[in-house]
Order: sequence, then C-alpha cells, then structure tokens
Amino acid sequence: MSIKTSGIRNRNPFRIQLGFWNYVVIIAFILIGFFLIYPLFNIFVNSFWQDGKISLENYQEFFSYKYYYSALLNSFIVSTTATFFACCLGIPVAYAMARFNIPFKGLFHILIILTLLSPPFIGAYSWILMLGNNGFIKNFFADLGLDIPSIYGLHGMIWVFTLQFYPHIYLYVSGALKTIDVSLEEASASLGVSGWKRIRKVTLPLIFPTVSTGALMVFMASFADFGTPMLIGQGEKVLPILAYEQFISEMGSNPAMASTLSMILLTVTTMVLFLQRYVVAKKTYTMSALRPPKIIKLKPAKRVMATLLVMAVVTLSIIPQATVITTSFLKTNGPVFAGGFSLDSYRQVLYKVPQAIQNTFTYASLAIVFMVIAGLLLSYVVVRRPSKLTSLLDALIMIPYVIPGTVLGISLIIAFNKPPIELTGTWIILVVAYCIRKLPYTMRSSTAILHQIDKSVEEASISLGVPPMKTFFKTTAVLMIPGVLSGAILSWVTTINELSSTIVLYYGATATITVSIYSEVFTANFGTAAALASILSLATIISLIIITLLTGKKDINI
Amino acid sequence: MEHIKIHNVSKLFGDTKAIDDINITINQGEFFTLLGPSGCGKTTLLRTLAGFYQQEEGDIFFGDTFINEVPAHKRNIGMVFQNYAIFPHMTVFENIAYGLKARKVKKDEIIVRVNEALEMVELSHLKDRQPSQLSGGQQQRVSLARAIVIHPGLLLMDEPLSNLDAKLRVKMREDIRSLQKRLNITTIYVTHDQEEALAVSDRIAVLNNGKIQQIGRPHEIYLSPVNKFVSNFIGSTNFLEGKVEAGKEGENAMVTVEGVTLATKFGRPFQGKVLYSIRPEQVKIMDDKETSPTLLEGEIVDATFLGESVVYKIIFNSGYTISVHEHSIRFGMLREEGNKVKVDLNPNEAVIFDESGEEVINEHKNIRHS
Repeated sequence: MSIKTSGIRNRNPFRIQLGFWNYVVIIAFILIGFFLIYPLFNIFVNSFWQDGKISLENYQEFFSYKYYYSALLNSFIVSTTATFFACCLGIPVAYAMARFNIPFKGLFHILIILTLLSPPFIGAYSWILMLGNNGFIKNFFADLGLDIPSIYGLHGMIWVFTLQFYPHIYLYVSGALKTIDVSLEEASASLGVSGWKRIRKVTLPLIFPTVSTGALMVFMASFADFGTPMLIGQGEKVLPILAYEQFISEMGSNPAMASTLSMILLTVTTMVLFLQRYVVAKKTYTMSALRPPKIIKLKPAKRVMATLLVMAVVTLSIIPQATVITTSFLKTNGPVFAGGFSLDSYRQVLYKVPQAIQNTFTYASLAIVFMVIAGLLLSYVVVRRPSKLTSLLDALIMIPYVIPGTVLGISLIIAFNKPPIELTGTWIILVVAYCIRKLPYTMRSSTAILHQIDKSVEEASISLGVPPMKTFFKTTAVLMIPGVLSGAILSWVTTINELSSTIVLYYGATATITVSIYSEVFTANFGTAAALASILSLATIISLIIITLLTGKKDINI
Repeated sequence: MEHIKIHNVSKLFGDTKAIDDINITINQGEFFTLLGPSGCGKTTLLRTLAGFYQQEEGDIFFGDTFINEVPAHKRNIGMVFQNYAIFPHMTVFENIAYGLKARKVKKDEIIVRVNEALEMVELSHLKDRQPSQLSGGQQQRVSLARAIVIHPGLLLMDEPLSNLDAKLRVKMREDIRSLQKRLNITTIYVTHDQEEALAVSDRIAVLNNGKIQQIGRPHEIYLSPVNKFVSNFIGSTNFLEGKVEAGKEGENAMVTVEGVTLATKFGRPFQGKVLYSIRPEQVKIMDDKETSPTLLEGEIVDATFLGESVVYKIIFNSGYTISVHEHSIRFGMLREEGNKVKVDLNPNEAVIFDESGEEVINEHKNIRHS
C-alpha cells in the first residue's frame, strides 16, 4: 500500500454543520447589534449631547436638582427596603415548606408562583381597591373610627413589592435547601450545635449565595418597575417614572434628559449586578446532595404554627388576585359599583377594547415563535460550540436582564423613530421589545436542558450514518423541546403581563391588555380594569399548568 | 490481512500534542486495545479514527480506502460509548434500527436484522422498552447491538464497561469478546483498566503522554515491558535500585541489588545504575534456614489474606519494603508478622531498566513495533 501524505490540515469533519451554525451566530449578532446594542449606544451618546455638542450638562443637572436626584434616592429606598422584607418573608416560608410537614404544600407553591407571575401593577391596583383613599378596608376601619394610613406613598410601594417579589427568594432558597446534604446538619448537631444556632451557623451561610441571587432579582424588579409607582407613588417619584415623564410629556419632552436618566438606571442595575457577583464569587460552595434532608414531622402545636405562618404570607400575597377577580364580577354602573354580581365588566371590556385583547395574544404569540427558534439554536451554539465569540453572544443575550423595560422602550423609540427605519408606532417594535426582554428566560431553560442531554447521543447518530445537520434535528432538537417550550411559555406569560416597555412603545391601535388596564385604572373604571386583569390571570394560570405538564415537575425556575 | 493502518498520526489541542506520531497496523478481525492512564491520548486516537476529530498530521487507511477526508457519518463505523449514548426518545427497537434506516435498508430486512442483533445481545424480550426502563448493563447491550447491526467495517469501543459494577463488567467483557470473535469484526477498544485489557485483547498498545510505549500481545506486555512506565502500569511490581558492573551482550552480567549480586543476561552492553523490577508473585519466600549468597534477609511486617493468595510486606535490612504474593495453598499455614525469612529475587524473571526507564535485558525492538 502506498502512503500518500495528505496536504490537508485542520480540516473539520463538521464542515457542513459549522457552515449552518456560523450563519446562526452571524444572524444573532446582527439582530442583537441592531435591536439592542445600537439603541443602547444611541441613548448613551444622547445623554452626553446638549445643543449640538458633547457636554456633561445633563448629568450635572441631574445631580444638582432635588427633583431629579430625589427620584434616585426614592428608588434606592424602595428597592433595598423591599428586598430586605422579601428576604424576611421568603426565607422562613421556604425553610418551613422544605423541612416541615405542612399540609397543602402543592397549593401554596402554585399560589406563590402565581403571585410572582402576575404583573405588579395589578397588585398595586388591588391594594388601592383595599387601602386606597376610598378602599373598602380603609372605609371599614374609618367606620369604626380608626384612621389607618392609605397605600399611597413610598411605604405602599415597599408593601406591594415585598408581597409581589418575595417568591423570588422563596424559589431560590427552596432550590438551595434541597442541595444541602443532610450530613452537614447532622455533623453540626453531633458537634453540639443545634436548633436556631445551627440554622444561623450552617444553613444560612450555605444558602447565602442563592439568597443573594434571589435578592438581586427582587432588587432589579423593584428598581425597574413602572406600574406600581405610577399608580400609588402619587407625589413620590422614582427613576423609571421620571424617565418616562421626561420622555413622554407633550410640552417639555426632553429626550436628552430621558436618555441621561436611562443611563443612570442602567448604571445602577449593572453595578448592583456586579456587586452581587463579586460578593458571591468568594462564597460559592458547590454541593450536590447525596442525601437530601428529610422532612421533619412537627408536633401538632408547632405544625399549626408553621402552617399559619406560611398561610398568612401566601394569603396576603394572593389577596390582590382574589380581590381583582371578585371585583371583575361586581355589578357596575359606569365607574360606580352598584352592588351585587354581574358580567357587566366583561361585556364592557369586549365592547371597549377587543383590539387590546387581540393585540396582546397576537404579539405574545409572534414573540414566542421567534423565541422558540432562537432559544433552540442559540442555546445549542452557546453550550455545544463554546468559543470566545459564542460566550460573548451568551453575555449579550443576558444583557436585557439588567435593562429596565422603560429604558429599553425609550432606547428603541429614539433609535427607530426616523427614516430609514421607522418602527415607532408599529406592532413590530413591540414584538422586538418583547423578544429582547424575554429571550433570556427561554435561553435559560434551553441551556439547562441542553446540559442534561448527552453529547455523545449526536456522535452515536453521526457514526450510524446520519449527517450532522440531520442528526441535530433528529436527536438533540427533539430532546430539547420540553425545556425550550417551558422557557418560551414562561417568556410568553411575562410578555402578556408586560407593561413598562409597552407603555412607552404603544400607539393607540397597538395598545395591549396591560396598557388598557393601566388607562382604565387611571380613569377610575375599576370594573373593566379588573375584568382585563382577570383575563390575564386566567391565561397565566393556564400557561403554568402547561409548563407543569411539559416538565413533569412542580419546580419552575424564573 | 492488514485492515487498519494509522500512519504518523498526530493531533494537537492548542499547543499540546494529544497524540504524537502514532503508527499502528491492525489486522482484519483483530481485537486491538488502546490502554493507558486518563489523558494519555487513547480516546483522542479513537475519536480521530471515528472522524470526530481531524488529525493535524498523518494518514489513516481502512483497507485500501484513504479515510482522512471521509466525514464521520460516511466511515461505516460502529461505535459504543462509555455512557451508552442511547437515544432516550426511542424504544430499544428504534434505537437499533436507527442506523439501518439511515442506510435506507428495506423495512422487512430491518426487522430481521434488528431481531438478529437483539438475540446476539440477549435482549429480545426488551425490544419495546423505553431506554429509561433499562439497567446500565442492558443499555450498554443496546448500544452494542446498535453498533453491530449496521455491519460496520470497524467497531470502536470507548471504555464501554467503566460505568458498570465489577461483576457485570467481567460478564460483559466475556460476551463482547465472544461476539467479536463470532462476527469477526475488527475492533478497537479503549480502556484504562489493565486487567480488562489483558483479558479481552489480541494485542494491546500501551499509551502514555500521547505516545505509544509498547505494542504487543497481553503476555508480552506483562512479562516483557519495554520500559518502567509499562512495567508499573500493567500489574504491580517492586522497583529496587541496583548497579551493574559490566554487562556484555549475550553474556552474564552481574547486578547488585540490596547488597546481593545476581547474574542475568543482557540484550545490549550496559553499565551503571539500574532499576530492578520484579513482580510480587515472581518473588520467592524461602525458609530462614536456607543459605545462599543470592538470598536476601528480611522480616515480615504485614500479612494480608486475600483468599487465593496472601500479600506479604517484607522489610529488608536496608529499610526497603518489598511486596510479595504467595499462593495460599503453597503453605499449609500463614506466615506471621515478625517472622524472619529469606527472599529470592528471581533474576531470571526480573526486568531491568536503566536510569531513563528503558529496559536493558531483552532485545525488545521487535516487540515494540510489530
């Protein structure tokens, strides 16, 4: 046999496949560059632009007028306080649910998740129904001669955010508690450390990194929320409101100031993210529980106590939903509740805003189609073809986590409100915003499932004679579908409940349900607002059920 | 008949050579094993043959076919993976039929061939099961059936037994071996388990740091290791420091170890410091009363009874401890800790290495690249 020396070097056996995946990466970079990086860069430049030249004037103005910087201060106060209280609620509830024999766990769990997925401003709105200036609880106490404080103001925001976002802490801590091997706690008990001291010395430090991640989520959500402060802030302004007002006000519309405020918002969220990563980096322990802790059977008295604690928190946080749904069935006469029950509100909704309902579901469905495809392909590229380029791609896709919706909305409008590409006022800009904001959810669950799929399954298929591209669609893609879909549905749920970027981007005919609720509340049509909110809740519940069926488990990571 | 020819093949990862100038020729129907510690390059070589990696240098031939530019899915290779790589969304039958469908085999022929393969791996009764309902051993059998049903030109197995428990491992390796002989499929088998390699292989290539150390039949590798690495990696051995005064080719040379001088034959002229390697079962323990200048005095410091054999730790006057295996039935009673004994280092079976770890007794060039 003659030996020829091959002149071919570095030829890759996945040549054909690499071609396809290269296109995926290139298209992803183009889309991200165009719809995310360019708009953000645009507001960055804008914030330094005053009267046709570069200046720091906008930033100087921000820090010298109390009107501006007090909003930053307010944002900080509200977010940090709400984060603190959310930890106070979330950690004990998670611990009790994970370790004690509490009845109706499944129900409590679902209710907690439902709380998290419903839009915060619906919570705010229903607290107005209860504790507003004319709220029924407030009136009840007033009849007894007691004047309880109304929900309006900073404390109201803290109250709403705490009850709305403690599920983040709950979910993260529940997950972490499952990975603590029981032997660690047994070991500390055998060393004579037990009870509260053990929880403080062993359990809490072990779950600290996870708690901080949950806390980060709470902080980000509170800091970026638009609807709640808009409804119950009244005189007290926070940053997203200020940015929105600067941008939207007919008279003194000031895009430069809106950009500056957006940049400040972004800077804060980014800094908080890095701070959390920095703190956690030193304290991360990898654990995989060989023996997850057993559930402790409490004595009846203690069991009742623990159950009451969990029930109190869950009830308090689900009350807004219950209130809204009940309100939606109340008989109304215009904006006034007439006493008794009826379907009037739903009839009015169908008459007044059918377009909004249709819009919401159309836009969200368009976005979900895109996110399923993108989630499938991009997670594959990021996980299975690791390189500097794909890890950059991964980082870029995750940026929207730190972008408040208002900021994204403002940046998109500024970028696309003039020819050649004029998207302002179209439905396209809304779908683009939804895809950018919610893709991280789909990506997260897609990458998670991909890590569980054995790489060699594809190699087995290739060695059996199926070309690489076909192999991907016959093996890995099929196996990824449950993960991709459950992430996409989660994205879908948060999309239909989205307000903060929609409020900036919508334009009359492209109004969605959330925008309609918002305007109905502002015009004091509480009945129709409640009916719309109930439609959203129903859609959310149905989606949750579908996710549960798809993944076959109760755990949902958000 | 020559079947697989690997010629000067090297594969780089970044700047490190994962495999370095590999030359192997494998015969039709041969069971050939790549053996070495983790990171030695054995899996890299296997994956290069499969087409999952492309070598930077060298050529590969399957028969007369130049394979370098043939993509993985056209190489007609059956591959069995360490973690089975069963398609979790297909039944046992569908898993095995997968490669046949890709080859556009007719439906009724697929059924016949899959059933045949299922019978070979003794899984006919499980053909409609989902993979999640199978044990690890059963999954590996499915994986094996899936690989052989396509009548591959070459069967590659990447540590197929390492995820199974010890007893099953022995049963599976016997089954794999007999199936391979029956079907006469050229097979390349990767393992880090030297006992497994000795048990199944026609020939073994021992790899370290991406380089082939020795190629040979199992007993050659065990009894005549060409260097210290092979000697240490295959089985266990005692290394004693020694010195050779003068060794002429073909003549007796004198090795001084632990103060005694032993006569042995050298394959090439040698002089200087050496490592004297003797396996625990090759050392003979003698009664304390024996007298001969070639015996070493020692004391038993530890005795471990293992059933068929006993492992003794014997300390010499120099303080060096040697490990010795003795068959249980050789003596009616166990030697006790504290017993004084004499030890025969058995120079006829010993292997001697120079300071760089190369063997100096035997003429081993033939063994090395046969």
